[in-house]
Amino acid sequence: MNKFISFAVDLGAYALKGGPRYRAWLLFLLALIVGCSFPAYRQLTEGLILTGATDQIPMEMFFANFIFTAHVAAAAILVVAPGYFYHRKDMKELAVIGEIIAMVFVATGITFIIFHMGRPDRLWHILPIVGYLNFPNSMLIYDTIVLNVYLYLNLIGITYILYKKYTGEFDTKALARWFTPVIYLAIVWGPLIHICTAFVLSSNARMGMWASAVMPFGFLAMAGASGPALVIVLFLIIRKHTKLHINDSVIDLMTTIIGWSLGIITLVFAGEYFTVLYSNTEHAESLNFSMFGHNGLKMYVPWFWGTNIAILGSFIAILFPRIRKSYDFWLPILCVIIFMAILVEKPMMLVFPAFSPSPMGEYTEYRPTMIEMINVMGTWAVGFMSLTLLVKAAVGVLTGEVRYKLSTDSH
Amino acid sequence: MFKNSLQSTPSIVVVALALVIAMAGILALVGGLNGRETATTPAGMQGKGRTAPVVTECFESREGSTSVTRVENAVPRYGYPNLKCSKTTQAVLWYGDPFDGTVPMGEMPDIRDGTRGDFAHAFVKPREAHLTYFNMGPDGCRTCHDGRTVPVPKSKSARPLAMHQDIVADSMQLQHGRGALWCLDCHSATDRNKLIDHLGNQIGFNQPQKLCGSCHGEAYIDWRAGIHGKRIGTWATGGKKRWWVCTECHNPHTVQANRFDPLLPEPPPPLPRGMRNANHERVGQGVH
Repeated sequence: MNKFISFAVDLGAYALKGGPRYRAWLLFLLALIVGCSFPAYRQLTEGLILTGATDQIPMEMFFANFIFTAHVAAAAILVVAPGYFYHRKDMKELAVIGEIIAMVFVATGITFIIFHMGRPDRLWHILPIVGYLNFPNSMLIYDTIVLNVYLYLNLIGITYILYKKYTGEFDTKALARWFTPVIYLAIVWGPLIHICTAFVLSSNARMGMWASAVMPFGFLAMAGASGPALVIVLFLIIRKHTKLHINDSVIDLMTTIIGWSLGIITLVFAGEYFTVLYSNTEHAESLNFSMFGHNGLKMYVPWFWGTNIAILGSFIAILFPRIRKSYDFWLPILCVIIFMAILVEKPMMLVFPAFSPSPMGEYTEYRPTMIEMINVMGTWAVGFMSLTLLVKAAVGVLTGEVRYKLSTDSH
Repeated sequence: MFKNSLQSTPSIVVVALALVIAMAGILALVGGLNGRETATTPAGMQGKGRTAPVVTECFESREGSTSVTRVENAVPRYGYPNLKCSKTTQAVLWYGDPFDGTVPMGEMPDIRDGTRGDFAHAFVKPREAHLTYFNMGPDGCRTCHDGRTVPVPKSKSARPLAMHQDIVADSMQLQHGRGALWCLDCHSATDRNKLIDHLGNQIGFNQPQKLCGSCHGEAYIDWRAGIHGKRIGTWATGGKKRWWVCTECHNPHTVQANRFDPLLPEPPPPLPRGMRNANHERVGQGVH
């Protein structure tokens, strides 16, 4: 038990240590989190009336952001899988960072869902026995199950690897017996959470833009682009500022994945647009609204074209080796663009315009309230804070800077 | 290493705390001010209703037929009134308890339609309570039409009446049946508290559909199927519902002149939050 306490204390201390820029980053996130605590309190006590949700567009920014966190969480297995499935030596060590990304983003997603629920004090209503777990009819129950299992699978994996490395008991042979199946399960579970999330949307027959069989393919492709984009930025920062060695080959694998994923996204979008627009029936109304607006109501139009151009442009850009290999300049910029493009795609292309026209033919624009935006920002701040601290601690363990010493807990 | 990291921090901690408190203050203020954006409604759409007092004297389906009174805090647990009424028409818009004051519809004939003769979950508001005409007592119409005070008429054919002009202004010009019908074709001559059909079956005032349906078969079948008339209650198929019967919406004495009094529609709901206007709705059907 002493060992575990010193594990937690040492990792915590190491995670908080860093240069002035690192501390400024942490303080910035902390300021956001503290600043958002009162809006969050109001949101969680007063409920969804504080958001911009309406009868016409009942989903808010929280739900849109949740889908994005599911993208990144699912994509994090792309860091884990090469090491364990293909025995790539350069990636096996980094697997734990992939799992941290997965865990943090699933947790952030669950936080968004708690905001999205409006009345989180009624969370127990979906528990079996005391409440009513509407299994197997409710798609949301599948999502709840897969998200929570994924969270704990990764929590087990991260704690085990880091703890064993910390105490110096890390033994690959002992690992294989029970831990490898857990990791394999987590790798399979990653896409599963995202397919489930896609089904939560595509099961709504009324939503013309959602009820599409390409939904899971699109989602996984977007995961494959946005997740590695974050991973590349993270790895580039890690290898610049810490002693952890990350090979160029790892970054290159990630850019390859992004390139393929962006290509698939382009194809999925093209397929959807063609299928819907060629016949141009009533089912095309939502897409037309996104593309050209409706009688002058055109809030989503710039977002639609902007996102599409960003995705297509990034796809073309990443095909050039000169950009792909520019680890110090072009690649991180491109990764940020991809990450942001897929992030804003969620509310402004996928979620909000899909609700117009409503069953009564109403066209509506979504106007998020200030309190909603602040809460979204705060949740992201919590997510990035946890990501920063956990990744920093993991780097300390992987580089051997944080090790269990008998002397440390003797005084 | 734990100690070292703590020693170098105090000045930063102070700065950090100051920054955090300042941020928190600003964000909380912004959040507090902008949490609720009120929906904007174009002028003229919201009407005078907003400041008008709560309507307490309401009617259920047609003016002058069934009047009900709004009681505040009728459901103390939630603080709900028993009714909410329209400020434009005084019609009831919402019921706290949709089955308040209702009774089972009772036996209905099986005519091999979708109901399969099962009316166990059908409830109606009793009409017989309205028979205390002129407030003459619990015997209703029979108070006068007892066979002695007013003798039982010998013939069903039309004759001038000195009474009930508020119901039928001119008894020689009954506005129902285009001259083929008269009062006693529907009202029982011997028991004025009952209706009577053309086969001589006495029918209670709670079940006027049995009488009306004997001529107006199409409307009757539609009504039984739920596509004519009004019902409230549970959504589920076969669930408990309150049915409105024929005479709650139609005045049988004036149908030729005025078969149905349409209600003035309620004003449109406010625009979705954040929408400034609905101008895009006013443009023609051209661009989709």
